[in-house]
Amino acid sequence: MKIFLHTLLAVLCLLDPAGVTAEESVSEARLKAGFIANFIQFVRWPRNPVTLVLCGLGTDRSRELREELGGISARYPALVVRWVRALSALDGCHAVFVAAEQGSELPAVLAFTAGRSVLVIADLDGGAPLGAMLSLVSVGGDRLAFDANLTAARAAGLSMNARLLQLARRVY
Amino acid sequence: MYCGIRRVLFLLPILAAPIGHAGAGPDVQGGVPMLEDLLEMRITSAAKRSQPPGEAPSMVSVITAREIRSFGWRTLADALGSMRGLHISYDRSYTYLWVRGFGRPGDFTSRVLLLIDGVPVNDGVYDQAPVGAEFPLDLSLVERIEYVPGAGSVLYGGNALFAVVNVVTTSGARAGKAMQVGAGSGGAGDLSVSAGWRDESGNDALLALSRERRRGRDLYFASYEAPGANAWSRGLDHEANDRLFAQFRRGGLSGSVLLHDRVKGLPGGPFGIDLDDPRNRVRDRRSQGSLRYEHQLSTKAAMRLQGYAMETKYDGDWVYGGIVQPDGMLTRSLGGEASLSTTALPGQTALAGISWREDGVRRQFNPGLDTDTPRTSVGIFAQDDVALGELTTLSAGLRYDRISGGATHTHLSPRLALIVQPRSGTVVKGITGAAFRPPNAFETDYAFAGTNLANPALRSERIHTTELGIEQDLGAATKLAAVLYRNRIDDLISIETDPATGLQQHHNVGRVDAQGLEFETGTRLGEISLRASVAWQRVRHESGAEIANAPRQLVKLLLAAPLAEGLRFGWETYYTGSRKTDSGIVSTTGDDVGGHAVSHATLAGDLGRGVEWRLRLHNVFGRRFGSVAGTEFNANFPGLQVSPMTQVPQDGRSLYGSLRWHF
Repeated sequence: MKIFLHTLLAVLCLLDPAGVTAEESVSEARLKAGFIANFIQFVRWPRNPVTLVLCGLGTDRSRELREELGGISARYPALVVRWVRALSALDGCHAVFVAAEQGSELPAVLAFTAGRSVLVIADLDGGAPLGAMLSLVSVGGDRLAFDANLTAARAAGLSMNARLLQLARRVY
Repeated sequence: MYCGIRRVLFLLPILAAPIGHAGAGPDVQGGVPMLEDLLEMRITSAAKRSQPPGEAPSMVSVITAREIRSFGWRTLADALGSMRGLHISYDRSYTYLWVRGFGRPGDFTSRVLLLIDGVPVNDGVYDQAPVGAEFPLDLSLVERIEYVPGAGSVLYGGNALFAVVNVVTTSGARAGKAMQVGAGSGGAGDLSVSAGWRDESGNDALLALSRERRRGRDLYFASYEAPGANAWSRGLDHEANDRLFAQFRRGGLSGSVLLHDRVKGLPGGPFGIDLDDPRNRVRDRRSQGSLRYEHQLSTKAAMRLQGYAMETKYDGDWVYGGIVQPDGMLTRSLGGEASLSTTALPGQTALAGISWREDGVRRQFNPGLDTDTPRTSVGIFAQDDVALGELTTLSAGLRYDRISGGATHTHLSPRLALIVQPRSGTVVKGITGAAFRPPNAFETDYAFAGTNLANPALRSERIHTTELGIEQDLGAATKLAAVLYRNRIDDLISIETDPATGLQQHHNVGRVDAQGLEFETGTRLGEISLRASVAWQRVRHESGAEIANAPRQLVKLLLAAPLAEGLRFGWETYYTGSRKTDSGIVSTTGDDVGGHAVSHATLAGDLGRGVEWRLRLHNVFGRRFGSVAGTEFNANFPGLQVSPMTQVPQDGRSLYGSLRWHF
């Protein structure tokens, strides 16, 4: 049934003229990776790390995103991407990305990183009011935007570039 | 979401393509697209804050860098001329923008407020919005152009009578390191270099230099034909532009410096100068610097501080009877603005601010005149956008201005907009507002023995606008827009020629009514994009006379499509409907000028290694047409060597090619 549904959706996409030439190689993951890479550039840590460690909390469902971020870190020697499955492995991370399928872990991640200068990014609608400093949200079904939680960032000693805040959909 | 994300990505070819492929420019740094490209486009000039165009209290249109590249546009006028309801005229000295059928020949586009990154460009003497080659910024440095039609005085004060045009510059990261050389018909050539970078902390810097030269053709003016008379202007259509732009952004702080030096020959004998004397020329120089600081005070409040300094100089050599008559102006202006925006009240976004501008020098001089009338302008403004339920927003704004220097002018400028989104993909806007423009120093003070008289008694001109607009998405790739508007201008300021003496003077000439209807559609089908618009417009003086150069229709068609791998094609056709010449008196309708269509074609491709080539054929079919001239050509000056000319001939077929390297 699920396969049928996916096939149907794929066919519908093909019927849509705008989708006809969409390249197969590009993906939702690439879009999200673009956001994450930009977020990191627009945030400052109290002591900016020489090598920035970004930790991803996700399962196999984030495989494509993992590849995309891996590609970016290969081009930016100052960015190291680590994928973890357990909260205890978040030690030493400057930024944590909580993937959509791990959204329920966000409160635990926030509790774990409380009091440290760790940028928490969530792929979760409503993540920012929960305490994620930056959170991806889908808007209108076909676009992504992001919310920022300036209060949480300040409490963690992180400063966000004004341009980043300007581009945010909502600032908490 | 399933199709949607693919669709967004498809609309972002920079993601799909490596550098140098299919229109991808220098947008990508290290393979990561700019954050702005990942998000829905936002504008900043309609409400002095970042917002999606659909939420703005104006029927906004935007041109992106991608479109500028697709059509090989080299001047701001090229880009603006593609927008619905706008048309361009060129008297071979300066270029003028007409909004919804309205402008006055020779008005230096003083009724449009032109901004670069939110900082005014209009000078203190002519209020000129320089839109042609006289625009101080190279178009390759432009990220997007926001056209905000309607009464803009509500947030911007004087000059924002018909529209605000905000040119947003690119970032250093996006511009990257690039070099361009170009050459074309009429002995034209250009060379530009830019270097931009962004470090890992987000600090961004850009430095760009460019030089353009054009020898120009010898021009023959058929309207001057007479037995034994010369109708040639030889070696007088030359033009030279040198530009420098530097910019930095660090956190919420940004600053820029802009230098521009332009020299243009004066063909066709404007203002009765010797038609064929190569010494006739004007030189315009501009130096401008600005600083801006934006800071998020709390989760619900943000502030913005902005300051700028500007100096503009104009020096003209006008040859009468073999003798060079100098004419010039100098302006020095300082300006600043502080504003605060807050979302503290539920369902509301409020903005309040104060702005100030000191035109410390507004000097005009020639052998018979040396006048300087400094001017101080202070404005306070507020706007509140209130959500009325889920679907409706009411945007209410008000600004008070006091302008002193010479006479004192005070004005209240309101704007009220109701923005309804009955369902996703549909926006309906009803907008009404008032705006003003105080007379400028050229209009009140300028005099030239034998031709021009000053008029210090001029009053401000005012406009009341009402418009109803709708924007409708048809699927993800097609947009429709329709606008119905009515503009009433009171105390219009216009130059008039006294039929008895031939002397020119600016007068308040009464009321003008303009009505119009505009339709536009934009669609993308794969890599093919199409934009088409139609505008019907009618502009009449209270006497019933039709205003000069107000075409009854404007039809525009733009198509961009890939032809083959690495080869792209752009096509533009612009039809300008029938209009009237300028009779020199507003209450007298001029002669008929028939409609004409002009088409341009652009071909671009990649040579690999970041090298892109572009060929633009201007006026493909070599259509002969003229721009309606103002008093500079149509007045019967005493002692004039040639008869008046009501239309200035425009360029025929011409080719321009360029090569651009991205390092």
